[in-house]
Amino acid sequence: MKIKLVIVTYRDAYQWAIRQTEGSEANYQELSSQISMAPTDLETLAISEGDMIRLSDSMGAIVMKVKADANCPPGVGFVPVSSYINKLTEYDPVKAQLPNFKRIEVIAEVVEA
Amino acid sequence: MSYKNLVCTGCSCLCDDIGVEQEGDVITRVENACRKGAAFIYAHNINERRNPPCLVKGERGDLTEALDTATQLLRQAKKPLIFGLDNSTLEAQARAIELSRTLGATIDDCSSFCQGTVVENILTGTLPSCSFPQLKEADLLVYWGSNPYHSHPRHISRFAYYPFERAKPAGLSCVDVRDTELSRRCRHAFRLLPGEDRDFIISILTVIKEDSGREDARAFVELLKKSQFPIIFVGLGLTYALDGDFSLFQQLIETIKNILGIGLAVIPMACHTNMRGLNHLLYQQTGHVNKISFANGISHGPQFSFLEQVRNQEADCILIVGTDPYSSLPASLAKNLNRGISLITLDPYITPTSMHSTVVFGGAISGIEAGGRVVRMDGTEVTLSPIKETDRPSDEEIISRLLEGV
Repeated sequence: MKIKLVIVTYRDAYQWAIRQTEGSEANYQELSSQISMAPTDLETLAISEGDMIRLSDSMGAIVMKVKADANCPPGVGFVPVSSYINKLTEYDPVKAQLPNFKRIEVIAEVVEA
Repeated sequence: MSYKNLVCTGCSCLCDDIGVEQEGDVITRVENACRKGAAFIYAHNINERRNPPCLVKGERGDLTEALDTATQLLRQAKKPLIFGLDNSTLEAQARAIELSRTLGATIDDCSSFCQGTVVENILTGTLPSCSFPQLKEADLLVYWGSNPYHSHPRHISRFAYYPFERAKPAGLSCVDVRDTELSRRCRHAFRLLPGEDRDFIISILTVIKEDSGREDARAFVELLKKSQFPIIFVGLGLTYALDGDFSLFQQLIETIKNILGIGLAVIPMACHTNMRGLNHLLYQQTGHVNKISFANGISHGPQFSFLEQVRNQEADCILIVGTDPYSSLPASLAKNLNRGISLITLDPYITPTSMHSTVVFGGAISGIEAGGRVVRMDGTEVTLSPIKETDRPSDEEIISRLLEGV
C-alpha cells in the first residue's frame, strides 16, 4: 500500500535540546526519524504507531517510525527538521526561491518487518 | 558557590532574567530558562560536545598555526565566502564584514533562507514593526506559521502575552497547518493546508475590499476589526509558504491600514541569537541585509545567496561561523561542500560541518564565555556579559586576527 504525503518540517524543542547536550547521537537520531501522521492515514496504510514507513521522492528515500497524531490533517506528515529529512528536501531555484522544507511531496509506503 | 545573572543566547528572545549557580567552573543550576535555553547553557559544560580550541586538518594545533593556515587559505582563495555569524556578537559581525571587504568576498547568513526579507522590509519601513515593551498596548497577537512553544518557548510567557494578560486581555490567535500547543490556547485558530497562505491572504483582501470571500477569511477580518493594535508574529511557515516574497503580505498590511484604519505591527520570529544584528549591520553599510558581494565594490542579488553559491560551486573557500550547513541544507546541496572547497569553521561545538573542515576554531560561546552586543528579534540591542572566564578566543578575536593576517 502506498499513499501520497506532504511533509512539513518543524522545529521541535525536545529534539533541539537533545542535540545541544548529546550531539547527533542515538536519542537525537530517534527523535529526528519520527513522522507524525493523522490516524486515518495509518488506517489507510494498515499500520500502527511504531511501524516503519518508507518515504521517497526524486531526491532519495528514507525510513521513519510512525507516530499517530490526531492534530495532523490527513495527507500531511510532520517531521522535526534535521539532516535526516534533508535527504528528501530539494532546492531548485527554477521551482522556488527557497528549499521545500515546508512542503516535501513524497510517496509513503509500508516497510515490511 | 556563586550566583550570577545571564542573558540566554539560546535563541533570539535573549531572555535576560536567567540565573545560574556555579561551583568553580561548572554551572550546576539554571533558573528561569526554557528547555532549549537550559540545554544550551548546560551544554557548554560538556567537553565531549565542544571542539578543541584549534584543529588543523583534524589535528590539534595552536592558535598561531590555525590562524596561519586559515589566513593562507583565505588569501589564496579566488572566490572566498563568509557565511553564518548569526550567533556572534555585533562586534564580531562588524569585523567579519570588514574581512569580507578586505578579501573582496561574498557574505551571507541563514537569514537569506529564513527571515531576512521580513527584517529588510522593516528596516526600509515597508512593514511596520514594534518592540517587545510596546506589546503592552497590543490587543490581538497572531502567530502566523509559528509555534513558539517549540521555536521560542518563552516568547509568550516572558514577552508577548502573559506579562500583559491581567492589564489587558490580549486576544491570542494563530494561523497554522495543524493544531498545536498554541492553537489550543487561542480563541481563534485558523488552520490552512500547507502552502495555502497565499490564497488565504488573497481571500482576506477580497473580504476587506468586496465583502466576499471564504469563511475563515471573513472570521479573520472580523477579528481584526475588534482590535485597535494587532501584532502579527511572522514565522517560518509563512515565509516558506510565500517563498520569501512578502509583496502580497505588504499589500495586506497596507489594506488593513488604509481601508480598516487599523495600524498593525509585525515582528519576525527570527531563529538565531543575533541574525537580526548582522542584517542591521549589513543594511547600514550596504543597503541590503544579506547576499552581498564585495568583489567589485558592493553587489547584491540572489546569486550571492549561500544556497546559490553552494549550488553553483562558486566559492572555493568558505569561512563558516557558528552554523552547520551540512545539517541544515538539503543533502543534495550539502554534498557540494565536499567538492574541493576549503572550509574554515568557527564553532564552539562539534558538528558535521566542523568535522569536514580544514581548520576549526572552537571559540568562546557568546553570552556565556564572551561578551558583546546583540540585537533581539524585535530590533532591541542587548548587552551580553560573560559569566565564565575562558582561554578560548572569542569570534571577534579570531576574525580580527584573520583580518590582520590577510
